[in-house]
Amino acid sequence: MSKLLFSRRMFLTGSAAGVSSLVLAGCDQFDFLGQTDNQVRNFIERANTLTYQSQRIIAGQQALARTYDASEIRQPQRPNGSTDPQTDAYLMVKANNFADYKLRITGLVENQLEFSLDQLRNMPAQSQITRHDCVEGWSCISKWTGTRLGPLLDMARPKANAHFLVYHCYDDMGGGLSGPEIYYESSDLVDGYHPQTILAYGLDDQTLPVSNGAPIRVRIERALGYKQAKYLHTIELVDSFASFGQGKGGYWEDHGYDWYGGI
Amino acid sequence: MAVMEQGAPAGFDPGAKTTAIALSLLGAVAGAAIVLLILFASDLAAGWGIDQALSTVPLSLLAAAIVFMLAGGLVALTRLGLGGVIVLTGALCWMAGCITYYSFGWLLAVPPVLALLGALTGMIGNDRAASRSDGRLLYRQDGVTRLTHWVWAVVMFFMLLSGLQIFEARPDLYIGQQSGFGFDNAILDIYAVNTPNGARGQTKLFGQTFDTTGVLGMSGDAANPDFTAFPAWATIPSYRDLATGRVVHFFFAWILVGTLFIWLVNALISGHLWRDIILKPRDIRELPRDIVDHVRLHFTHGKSYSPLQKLAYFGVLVIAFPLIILTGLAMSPGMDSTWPWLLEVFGGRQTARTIHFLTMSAFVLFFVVHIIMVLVANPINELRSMITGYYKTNIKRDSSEEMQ
Repeated sequence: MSKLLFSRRMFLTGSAAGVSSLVLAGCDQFDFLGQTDNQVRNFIERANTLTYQSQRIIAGQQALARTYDASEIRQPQRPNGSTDPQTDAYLMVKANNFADYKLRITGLVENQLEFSLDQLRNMPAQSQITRHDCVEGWSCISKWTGTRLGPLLDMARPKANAHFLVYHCYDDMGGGLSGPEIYYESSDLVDGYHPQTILAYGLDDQTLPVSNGAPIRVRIERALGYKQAKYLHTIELVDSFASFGQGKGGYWEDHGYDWYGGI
Repeated sequence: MAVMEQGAPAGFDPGAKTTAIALSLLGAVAGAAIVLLILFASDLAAGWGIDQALSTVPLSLLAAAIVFMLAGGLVALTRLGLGGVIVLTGALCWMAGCITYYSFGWLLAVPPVLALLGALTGMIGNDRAASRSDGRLLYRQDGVTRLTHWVWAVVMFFMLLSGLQIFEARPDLYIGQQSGFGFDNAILDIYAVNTPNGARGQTKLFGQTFDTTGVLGMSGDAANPDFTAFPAWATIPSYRDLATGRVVHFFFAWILVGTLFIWLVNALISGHLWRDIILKPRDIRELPRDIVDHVRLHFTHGKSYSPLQKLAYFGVLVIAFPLIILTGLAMSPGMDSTWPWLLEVFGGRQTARTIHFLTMSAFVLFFVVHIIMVLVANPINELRSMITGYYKTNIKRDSSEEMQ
């Protein structure tokens, strides 16, 4: 019996040691998950689609992001990502204080539209004090002022096959192997038409500063910071965003982040 | 122990033995076929999604797994319980091989699943038979409890290490709705700093600064240190990769929520929750004595849990799991719009994040105590009860208590 007990103990200890040595060997065992083309990663990424669809179902389309009292604005909005774009196109439009700036709504719409900054500012304004949640984990409360995107989309009359909005930006992000990449983002029409989705030109009762996305930044209040595209110049309605960038729907999405961005 | 080690005890179900052996040997054959396929017909294997070359470490693990499955299947001819343990070791070896192999195809899951089923059939069959002739060997953990336990063991490993990766992107904790940049509401801050003695890792907790070089803020090779909040071995991936940390974290979060739901339904229906987890007045009365018993390392192995055990499992299953899930959801801006009460209950998104982190710390503490208690109490018996469901008590069953 003692011999058998020993064997049993030996096997259990052996397997426990095997598993723990695997752990102690370092978790670089799981670094392959960082490769965006790895099959295991592609499989577990499907959980993000499940999250997106679940939240859309239980939240409905109109649930509002929490808004705060003015007393909660206790600090300037923290700039992150691009804070001073140096692309030629941006420098040109910034040079005369965005007087020649145009916001375009193009793609799968009946009416291609173009708005100057003054036109946008003269449209019905909406202000909201909301919490900006960065994917890094921090939050910052500010007052954003702009005009709702929904009515502009109605004016453009999206075609039946328009499923997504692609937000084209002026800034580029460096670091990619292929050199700088132009920032872009995308959302579904639910986020585009959401009552709190605005094209913001004001921050904390001031003109939106360059560091926070001047002249126009989209606010999609139920999503993380990287969905709030800064330095926006064109909103393109598409049936699929596969042909933009790496095809994942945004600069950060192309670098492995989830497209939904609501979690 | 004596009875169950004597091969096939009286009343043993021969079907279980045949099934166990057949599944184990099938697992070994399937494993061998897959390894041969990768080695000699890589084109064919690539068609199944197994497209990497087999290096030494995964090859030896997979080969060892096949040997264990084969040997275990043969040992089970005379010693069913022991054979099951050997086959189980083989299944674990195969899974470890897959982790080091980095390739993924459904085919790779076939041998360990066959072997696991074979091992479990053998071990459970053996314990069930032994239980009939040994009044102290009781069926204590049902299948759902055992399955969810092991799923959670894996899930919590990935949740912890991917969670630390996510935390590393902003290794600070705050109290309130937002993070103080223009004011200070941080209670924890992990960072690296230049000092007259060179770079150091520091941790600031409630205003007190501690030098945590080597673990927090700065770690790794002294000549070429990582200036990350946590050491590379504590995060998935080992390097800074927030995007991948999130992918891993959210995948396992779904598994956790799903299995927790299954566990809850089963625990309600079977009475496990009421019988074993919820503390009764009697448990409270016996708590002081149970604490004394634990301090003296004098354990009562009964059919149900002792008051301290109930308290620990109640804390984990009824308090910590829901708390860590809800504080996790409170960090989702989408969920905050869906369930605005999340922010009210936890006092803001940043406080929720802090509670999430503290609950994680409580889980780590629970894990350490859990492992110590398993080792101190009787590791073989405790492991057996979580694998086959049968637990050796040290009090003789009274005649009124019927075995399940």
